[in-house]
Amino acid sequence: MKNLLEMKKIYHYYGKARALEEINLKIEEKALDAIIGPNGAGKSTLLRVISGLEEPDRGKIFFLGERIDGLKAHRITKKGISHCPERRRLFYDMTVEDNIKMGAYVQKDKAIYKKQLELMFELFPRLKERRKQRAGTLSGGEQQMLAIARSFMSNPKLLLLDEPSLGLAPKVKKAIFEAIEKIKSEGTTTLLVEQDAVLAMNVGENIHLLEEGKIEMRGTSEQLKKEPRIKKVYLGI
Amino acid sequence: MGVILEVKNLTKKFGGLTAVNDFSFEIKRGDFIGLIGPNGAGKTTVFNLISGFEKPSSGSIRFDGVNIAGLRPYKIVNKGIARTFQLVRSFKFLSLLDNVSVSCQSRRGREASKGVGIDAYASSILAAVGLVDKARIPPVILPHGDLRKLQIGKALGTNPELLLLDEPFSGLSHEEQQNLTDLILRLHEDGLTIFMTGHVLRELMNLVPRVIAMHQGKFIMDGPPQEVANNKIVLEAYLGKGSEEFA
Repeated sequence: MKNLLEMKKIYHYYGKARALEEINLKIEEKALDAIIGPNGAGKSTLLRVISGLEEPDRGKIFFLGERIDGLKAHRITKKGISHCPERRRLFYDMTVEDNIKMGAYVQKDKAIYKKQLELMFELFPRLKERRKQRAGTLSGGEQQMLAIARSFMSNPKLLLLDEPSLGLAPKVKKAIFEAIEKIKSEGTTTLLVEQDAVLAMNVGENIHLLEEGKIEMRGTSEQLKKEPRIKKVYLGI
Repeated sequence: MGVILEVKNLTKKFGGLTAVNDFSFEIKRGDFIGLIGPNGAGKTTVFNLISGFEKPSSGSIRFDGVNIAGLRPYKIVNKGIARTFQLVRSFKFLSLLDNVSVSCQSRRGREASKGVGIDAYASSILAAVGLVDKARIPPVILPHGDLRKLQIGKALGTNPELLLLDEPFSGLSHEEQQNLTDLILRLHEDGLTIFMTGHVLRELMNLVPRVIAMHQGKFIMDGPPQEVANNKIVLEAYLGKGSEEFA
């Protein structure tokens, strides 16, 4: 399989505090990879650097062989990377349908738009039922579904999902993760950031463990489950 | 040593959300204790309740045997509890000395500075937190690590018996974290009772001899860090359900 995304020696700082240190990461086409790690490890920063919300201080990022570091976020979106942010960041006063449309602003092809919309409504029938409702009136789980649907509407080659399980009840988490697997099986490469290590390991093919801005370990979930170091990274001891 | 803080059945509801749920624990004079829990566990709310920034929905908070639940923050400061905040808050354009002097104007601060005067007392606090050579500088030009120390200095200005530190390590570089660790240890050795939170655990778990773990507003357990880190419910709270199968 060829690499869709490749990060080479990426560093990022917030002031003097180092958020990312020498990140090397390759994501293969059609893969579902997960980045796990405790709070403050740099997981969200990693996604923000890929999608252009932050410009890396050092290093290179290649997408389909082409340099994308330093490009503005909207250009990166046009190239086929979509970022579903932490805490959803919906347009709460707009309807469900309008939120979904906002995600498709780079997608000018009506036929693809229709196809994506149908797929999303099939995946999340609740959104179809509630498409005329204001996004702010949805439950937490429905809002997360809407955030995923919105980010999927640009028909991305790479979908970045930041903490899709945050603040959700176990049953809702399960539904969200089933949808993520479905999106993957439709052929969209996905990079998932998750604090819930168990959930991430259940769906992720390759797991990258981040600690204090560095990738400390990577492997399949079977390999990582046998590593006592994971507990140490999360609990500090 | 005697109990300095006794929290019993503490509950705080925000609308339909119970942020702190029937939470009980004790802190003894001279203790050095951490409060841990994943994001959203309710740690800051516990601090807000103890320091008077939020009123409890029910339950009691006894400090030196007196119920302080629901008192205003300044009254709680006058009783001997001071706190820092997760985000640094300073008087940006006053000198560091004046920043600390403001809190020395509290009742306990004035008592402690009797004889030496506010300025000398504030200077001694700046010396204690390692900022005395920057006494005339305003916070606006200082690095984050120094600002954190200043927060502790401002809290110390009220001459507290119990110091609450909310996420003191967040956003600091390694070197700054080490510096701050040294400072906190020194304060503890000088006899101050310290209760601190942290969601990044590497520093905290290796610093304090005892931690209280909470999740979704509820008390999970209280014990030495190693024991707490091996508790099944604690692991589940941090790593997710099913993590007991991990090595």
